[in-house]
Amino acid sequence: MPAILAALLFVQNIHAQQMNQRIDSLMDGLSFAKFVQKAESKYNVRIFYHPDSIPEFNVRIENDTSVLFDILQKNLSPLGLKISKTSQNDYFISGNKLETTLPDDFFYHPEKIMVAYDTTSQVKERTNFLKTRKELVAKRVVIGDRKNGIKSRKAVVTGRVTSATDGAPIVNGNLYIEETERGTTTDENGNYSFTLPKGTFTLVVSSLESETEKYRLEILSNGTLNVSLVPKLFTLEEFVVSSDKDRNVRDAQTGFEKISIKTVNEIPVVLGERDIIKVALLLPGVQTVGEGASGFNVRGSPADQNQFYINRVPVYNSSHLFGFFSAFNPETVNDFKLYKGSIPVEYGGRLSSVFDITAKTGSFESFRASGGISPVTTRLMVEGPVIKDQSSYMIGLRSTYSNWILRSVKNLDLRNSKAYFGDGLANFAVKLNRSNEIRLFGYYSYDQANIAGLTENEYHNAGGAVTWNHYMRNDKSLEVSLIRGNFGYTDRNMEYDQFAYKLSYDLQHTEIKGGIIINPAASHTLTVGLNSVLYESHTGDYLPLNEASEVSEKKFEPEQGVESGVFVGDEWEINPNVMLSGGLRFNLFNYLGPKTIYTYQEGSPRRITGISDTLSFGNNERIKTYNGLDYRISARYILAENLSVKASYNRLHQYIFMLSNTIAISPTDSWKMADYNIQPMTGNQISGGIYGNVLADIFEVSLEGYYKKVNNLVEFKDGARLLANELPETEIVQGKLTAWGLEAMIKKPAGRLNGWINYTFSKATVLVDNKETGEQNNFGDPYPANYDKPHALNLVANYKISKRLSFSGNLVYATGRPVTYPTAIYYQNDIKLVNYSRRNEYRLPDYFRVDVSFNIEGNLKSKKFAHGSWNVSVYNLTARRNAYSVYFRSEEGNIKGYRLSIFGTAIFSVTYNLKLGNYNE
Amino acid sequence: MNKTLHIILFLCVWLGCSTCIDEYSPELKGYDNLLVVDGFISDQPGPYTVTLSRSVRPGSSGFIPETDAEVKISDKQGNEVYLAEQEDGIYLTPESAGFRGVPGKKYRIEIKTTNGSLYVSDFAMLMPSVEIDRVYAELESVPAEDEIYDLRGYQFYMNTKESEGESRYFMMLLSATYEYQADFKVRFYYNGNLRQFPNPDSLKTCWRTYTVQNIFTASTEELNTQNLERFPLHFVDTETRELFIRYSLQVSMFTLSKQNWEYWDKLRELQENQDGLFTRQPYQVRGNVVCVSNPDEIVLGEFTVAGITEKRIFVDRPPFSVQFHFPVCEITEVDVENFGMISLSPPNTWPVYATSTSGGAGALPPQECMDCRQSGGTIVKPEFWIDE
Repeated sequence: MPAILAALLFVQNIHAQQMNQRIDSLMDGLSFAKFVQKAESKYNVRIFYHPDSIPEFNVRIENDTSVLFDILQKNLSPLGLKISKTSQNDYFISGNKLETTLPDDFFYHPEKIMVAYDTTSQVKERTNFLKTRKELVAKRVVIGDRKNGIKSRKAVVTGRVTSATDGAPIVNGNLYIEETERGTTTDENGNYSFTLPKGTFTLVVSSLESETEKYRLEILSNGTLNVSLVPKLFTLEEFVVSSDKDRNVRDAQTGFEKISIKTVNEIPVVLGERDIIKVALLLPGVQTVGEGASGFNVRGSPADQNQFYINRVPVYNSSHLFGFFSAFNPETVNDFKLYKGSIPVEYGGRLSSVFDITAKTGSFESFRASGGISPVTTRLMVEGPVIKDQSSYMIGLRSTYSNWILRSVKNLDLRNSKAYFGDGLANFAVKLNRSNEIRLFGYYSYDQANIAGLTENEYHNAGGAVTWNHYMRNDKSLEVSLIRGNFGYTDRNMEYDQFAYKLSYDLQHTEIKGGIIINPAASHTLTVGLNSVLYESHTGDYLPLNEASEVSEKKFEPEQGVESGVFVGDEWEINPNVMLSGGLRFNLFNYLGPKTIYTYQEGSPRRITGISDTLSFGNNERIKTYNGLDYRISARYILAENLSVKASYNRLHQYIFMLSNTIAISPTDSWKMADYNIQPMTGNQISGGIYGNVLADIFEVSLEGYYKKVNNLVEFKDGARLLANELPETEIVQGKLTAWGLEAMIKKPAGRLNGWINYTFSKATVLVDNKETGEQNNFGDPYPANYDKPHALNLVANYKISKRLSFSGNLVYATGRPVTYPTAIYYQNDIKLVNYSRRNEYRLPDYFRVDVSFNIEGNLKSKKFAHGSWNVSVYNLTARRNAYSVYFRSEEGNIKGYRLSIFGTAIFSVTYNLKLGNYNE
Repeated sequence: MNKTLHIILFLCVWLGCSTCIDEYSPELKGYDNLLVVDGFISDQPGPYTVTLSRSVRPGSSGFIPETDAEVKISDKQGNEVYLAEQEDGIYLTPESAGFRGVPGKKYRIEIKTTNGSLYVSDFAMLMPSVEIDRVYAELESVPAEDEIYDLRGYQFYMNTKESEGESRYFMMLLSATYEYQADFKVRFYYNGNLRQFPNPDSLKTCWRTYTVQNIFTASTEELNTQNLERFPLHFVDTETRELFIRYSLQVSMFTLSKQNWEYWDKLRELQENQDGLFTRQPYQVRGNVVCVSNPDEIVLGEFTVAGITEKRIFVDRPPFSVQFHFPVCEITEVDVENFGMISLSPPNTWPVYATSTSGGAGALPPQECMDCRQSGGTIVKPEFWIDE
């Protein structure tokens, strides 16, 4: 451990002398910042800490203690932090342990010092303490005088460090000499002393609660230097930590990311809309087929292998405006977690990832509101107690307010289009008593678009969840949720009068989920539970849109299925170095009637002419049952204090998939269950890597590899028609997906400069070659998946220039996605036609983008009605025309290539955010 | 109240979220040299043409004929007719045999190339043709991609008569012809000597015929009726001379078997559906011809069997309120200067035509300003052409 840090963060332990402050258990589960704020406001305590040194986490108050000191100790010591308490009820939280190997003559206790000549140099107080912090300028100070220094080579400098505001001594203040990389701290009276050779040195004086001061010392002889430090306004600092600090090394899980909304807020935005999905795309192993495309691809899997949850409610379409924006109002989001390697046993049903969004819980104390206006939307969030300290609400709304974006878009179709979207959510939390808690959550998102007067599309997600948490003795807890999710769309097409139609689709997800967490022994955390989902998927009637239309009605039978899972998982710390985590999940999927099922001749492709039998099933009659056992196992071994290796194996089953053969998810894509003809998909992934926190935990470094295989991958025949198709199975072929990759990540989670850089090398290959039926894609040869981008580099950097101004930038590079290009020209009836290459044989030009943004906070007056801030963003700073697609058209007898860029220029946007009350509240 | 609350005037300099489409020519390294079968038979009198060629490199437009092949069309009853190679790669049914497709019969093609490969198509049913009831044009405007004004022009539509039975799958091929004029009369010509041009109007009016490169397919399979009504065909705008005098559109409607139709419908979809946000991956469309001797060999094209009906309509110039925006020749000083140098024109460009200014001075603007044939047409009025 470098001595620099040891000295800087050095804090002495002080014995608690006064009665220990007891804390209300209702403060359980608050974020640390909130906890501190609340503790300070409620009790007569002050808690000092350096925000950059404390990662974001929620404070747990165990049942066995309510003493503030113990709570802090329990929560912070796993993070390597120490707590000190003064008799004035001030708590200091500091980083590192006492450095015990300083030279003997380094420290002198003040009373032992013989100050022969008192040549005091008093330093003036700074008066402008509310001003923005500038770079520290060292003040020149002369200590002692030459005459007195003649006799010795060394000099003792003593003094007192006090607060500039009230003159109170600063305890545990740090004094540090840059040249010698040594330091000392002040005692409880603020006194200090150190010995140095005569000469010129740079002294840095700092403390957790004060601004740092820097002095240029010219030491001529023994002398005194009294320093007064300006108190730091902690309220101006913020957390910038994006994952629980120790997770990187200590967790057994592989492939896990957690991002807090703070990070999301800092990252530059397109069109002023902060977007958690856009942030997810900056993580390793997460790819998209293009800007403006809905969803994403995790570790080589198609977009429908990701499950999106917001507070347990499943979201089947995660985007607004065809994919330009995500369907989650950032104002209402607390954080999101992305599981892409080891997926906890409580989740099932998706092979690739779980994207779990946690919405904010309303304040139990006071009313708060915040909102913002961007070029695209206005948004609002209100929160507050219903009954103080017992129940709270949080309601968020967001809506577009004009169509002007589309009108200013150059593309003809878009310019003649109209679009509207909005979303809202509400979160109610009720603490019934110490051990029971109920949460009610509702979510709704809505989209409406009219494209060029030719098609009209509406889609929505809706859902709600009731969750009951029950905390029992011995660290047991129970959670039961009732969940309902719904996705649906209506599509109206009027391209041809005679063929104008209306089609709707609706998917209902009804789920009950229960789980219990038990700690049977100190080294075990056991999770046991079950869930059951009823899916009801209904393609509505295909109807003529108006009187001119002559399409014949088509009726579709609904399909329903029940997916149930029983799971047991354990986190077992075998010894301090070895941890095992994982479990088993047994899945059972029943595809249920009423339904008419067609069977097809075996050994040949499924087509309408190959129907061999028609089977009829009654209501709730089992048509087909699939079961599967998921294994999820991961292990961690700690090699050294800050270094670990992990490995995991995951096997999962998926029973519902998306009927989509467009490159990007289209608003008319629907979901389909595994059925009589279509097998469920299974996925196997092994992943592992090495994880370290280096340079005094400043950086989190990891290198993780994975290899994934998906069987029965649902793919589609060339030119498959999926809309209003009564026999979708005739368009489906099942194949194999093989994906592997290596993800390297360096993250600096905290500090004035924070962010991450990651590089991923990956491959995703699809093979469709059914030997039995002869069904093939790409002649039975493997082809790269549509989203296969071998090289991907993401850089995210946030820099706090001053208290009111911060800068963020990101850089994205990725290999272009695979495309199919012409390989030959031929004619049919004098019409020039293009013959295409094998599937995905070519690649689009590489993708490269740089975005920057500045966040400008409004004034930092401590008492005000509202706090405003501006965000100025430039998306695609280099105005590179990244290709979304390249296509070919026959024009005047020539085949011409075209490149479509969605954001073909730099996009500048300004967002204004406002919240009631202070900056920090 | 706080000042910031008044900031509803949010500032946004919008440099344009411009979705843009550029011309872009990626390097296409691949080339598939494949046999292309391009031919059909119908219920119309023959001879029928089957063209055999090899696919060409993207970007080139040559024709590589597949010569000396043995081409045979047969029906399910075993009647067969051999086609004779008229020109390189172009095979015709013999006129003498009087071979003509019969509705309700199934036909296929067999091809044996000089290297011994044997290609056979599936049998395809010749469907009874369906009458085109009406083809008509309506004046419509569409917003222009790069222009500030809307493009006006004729949108063509068609109605068919009620079909019977399984005649529900249609493919329309369009042949357009338009009359147009060069901007100036020919006054002089140079072919070694400069002479007065005897018949100043003879190169002024031309007719150009071209195949509309869009494929149109329609099916009444999912309709309650068996006829097409107001089915949109192509749109001709006023950015060119096409509608300026008189325009004719011939619609050939192929009534196809479902299998034949699916091939054409896939081609249509690939043609249309490439430039949006929700495009599908393009793919190789395989026709109904396979190589029997080597099943792995890919064959392009389709042997189409169709009942064909045709309808031709004429439309005159749209009302005068409709503005045209096509480039018009103007005589500049440079053209007058160039006229002085007409004798320097190389012999392979002879005869070089010239016109004169209103003042009577000779002028040499680009040839297409006087010789309408330079713009792709011919001065011979097509036989089918009916003047107003």
